[in-house]
Amino acid sequence: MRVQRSLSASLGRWRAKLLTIIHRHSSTRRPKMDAIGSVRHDAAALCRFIDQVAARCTIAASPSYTGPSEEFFKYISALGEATKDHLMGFVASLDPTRVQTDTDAFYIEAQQIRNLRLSWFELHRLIKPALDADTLEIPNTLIDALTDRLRQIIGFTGARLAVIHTTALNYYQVTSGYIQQLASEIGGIVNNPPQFPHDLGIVAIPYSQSSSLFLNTALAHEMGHYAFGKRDQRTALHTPVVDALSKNKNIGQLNTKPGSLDIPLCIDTCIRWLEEIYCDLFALFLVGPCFSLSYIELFALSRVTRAILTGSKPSSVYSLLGFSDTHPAHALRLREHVAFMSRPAIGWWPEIQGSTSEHVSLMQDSIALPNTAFSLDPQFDSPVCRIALEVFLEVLPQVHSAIENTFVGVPTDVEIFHQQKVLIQKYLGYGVVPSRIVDGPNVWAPSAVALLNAVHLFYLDEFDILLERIEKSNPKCRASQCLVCRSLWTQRLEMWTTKALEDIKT
Amino acid sequence: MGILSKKRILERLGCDIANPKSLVITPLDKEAFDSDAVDLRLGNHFLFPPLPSTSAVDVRDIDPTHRDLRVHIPSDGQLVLPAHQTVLGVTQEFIKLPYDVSGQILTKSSVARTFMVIETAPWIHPNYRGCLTLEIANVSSTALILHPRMPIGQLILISIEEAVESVELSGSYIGPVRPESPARKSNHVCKF
Repeated sequence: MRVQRSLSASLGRWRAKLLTIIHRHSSTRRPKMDAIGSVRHDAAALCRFIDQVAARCTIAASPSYTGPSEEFFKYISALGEATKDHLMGFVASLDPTRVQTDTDAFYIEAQQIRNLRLSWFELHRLIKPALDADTLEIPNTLIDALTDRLRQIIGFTGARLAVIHTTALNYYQVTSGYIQQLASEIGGIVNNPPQFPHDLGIVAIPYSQSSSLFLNTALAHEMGHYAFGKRDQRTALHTPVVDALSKNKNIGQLNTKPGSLDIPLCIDTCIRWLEEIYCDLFALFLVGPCFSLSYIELFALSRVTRAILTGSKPSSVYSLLGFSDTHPAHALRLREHVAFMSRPAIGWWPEIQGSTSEHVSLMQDSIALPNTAFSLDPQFDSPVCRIALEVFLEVLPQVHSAIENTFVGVPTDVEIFHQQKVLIQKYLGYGVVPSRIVDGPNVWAPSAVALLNAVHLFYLDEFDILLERIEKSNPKCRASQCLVCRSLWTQRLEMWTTKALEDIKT
Repeated sequence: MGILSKKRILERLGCDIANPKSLVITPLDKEAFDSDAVDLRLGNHFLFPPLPSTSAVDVRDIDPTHRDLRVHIPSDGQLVLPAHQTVLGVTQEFIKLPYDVSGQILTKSSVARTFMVIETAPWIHPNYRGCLTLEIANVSSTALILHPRMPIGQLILISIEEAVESVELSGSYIGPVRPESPARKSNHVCKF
């Protein structure tokens, strides 16, 4: 669940270096008689490059893409057309006499082709992962269900999410701001650039995990990043962070002289951690505790972690109780999950507390962890991060309130879960898709949130009931002990849930 | 032994899932009932058989590594099936049969008259659960356009005399919701 920030930062540095080299090169270069020809050559090469990228974005009938993905492709195509129009106009307007009379100005102007090229190089990086993410290769149904929930939030009725792939076994949100920044760099040069589609978010999932329903609920966290940006929570949190920092008794350890980056870095680190918590709690409100359960699965926490939390503390404890420069400690995040779910207005914790799974036991253990249990990973230990951690812990409760404000008027669906859980699980126990539930004289369809949580708890607590039925029907089968069978039936369980989500949508 | 009427089908659909006599058809379209059959619709997922790398396919020894071409057609999309071509499709409905009822799926007559065949293994055993894989063949000499969610088959339910009560979860293809090729048939022997 790493954000793309470190990648973006390294790309930014790379771009800056390249621009410097290009500028140095172009400023020392002497004009030649064929300078205009050279610019034409560069412009034509860029046109060709854009054509090739845009051609990929021309959607054929197959494979199929979701509406938001098609919007993204159309935007890239339109941006390509605008860039090419600009290049043609630019080349046509080149004045041969200026090469001789005002050489520097000519080359500075010509530099824009290189700037455009660099921006297009970065956009190019997103196209293939987006093209790979056709409807067969993304958890389309789950994304639809999550988007439906997202649209219940005030101000999010038009929210749409395009999905791209990532090779990392990780989920991240490609901030619309990042793409808009690229687009605005292009738009700052070309005339009449198309507007980036309003309310379109872009999230990435591991390319191989489209059918992993349980893990994919982590997408709800990435939607949190989208909401964090759209609601400008960074600005909202800035003031309390600055206030807490100014009152911090250790602020003297920071370099506060003009020009020093200590204070901005401290604020930025703190807000980054708060954003991660915001997104976790956002996900919990959006889909319920199945997010926490998938979080534990994704990071392979659970039994081993629990032993560490409750007993001895080997060196690996830092990965659980230690903060990195971008993310809070796993154990703190779980503690906050439970605290949030325990709030009376949320009410999820009592619903899952009785689970016998290691996952829930781990969450239970995290409750007792005091603030003093948390520290920084040794590689990130510095006065700036230490003070950021103190400020973070002080401001942390405000994130809980921020989430409740975000979701004003949106039901948690916890009561529906309470009513529907048992029958949903009963259907699963008989190997049946739980989309049309017979409940005495009534027939109903479950809510998406109730379904996702009931299935995940079934998977953790009652999966063996299903496996035992399979064993009884197949004398040679030992499904409960055979890894191949367990894997097969887990896959089936996820497919039944996906099917149920499809059915209730229709 | 007899064909279940609409009334009997509705009774079975209203049974508790734990009741071995329960029937499940989901999602259920209220317009889907005839007096003695239930319409089934075409799903969104398809499998095109690959071109074999050998001169012929030995049906007793399907290469487990072969990969069908998976295709997803959105609900508002369409699939063109060329003349004399085949594709595996799936019903939109997930079905669970009671222990004392067998099923048979037939091509809807309106579809059959376009010279499309949807099922060459039409018998469904008691206790079956899953979406039904359809072996769709265009036997006409023109291309045909298929639309997901179009009614494509009819399910006839037949009660079995002296059936033995059971809640079996066995068989080669248990609980599929996507079309499955022969390669998916499990020859797995449990090891633990």
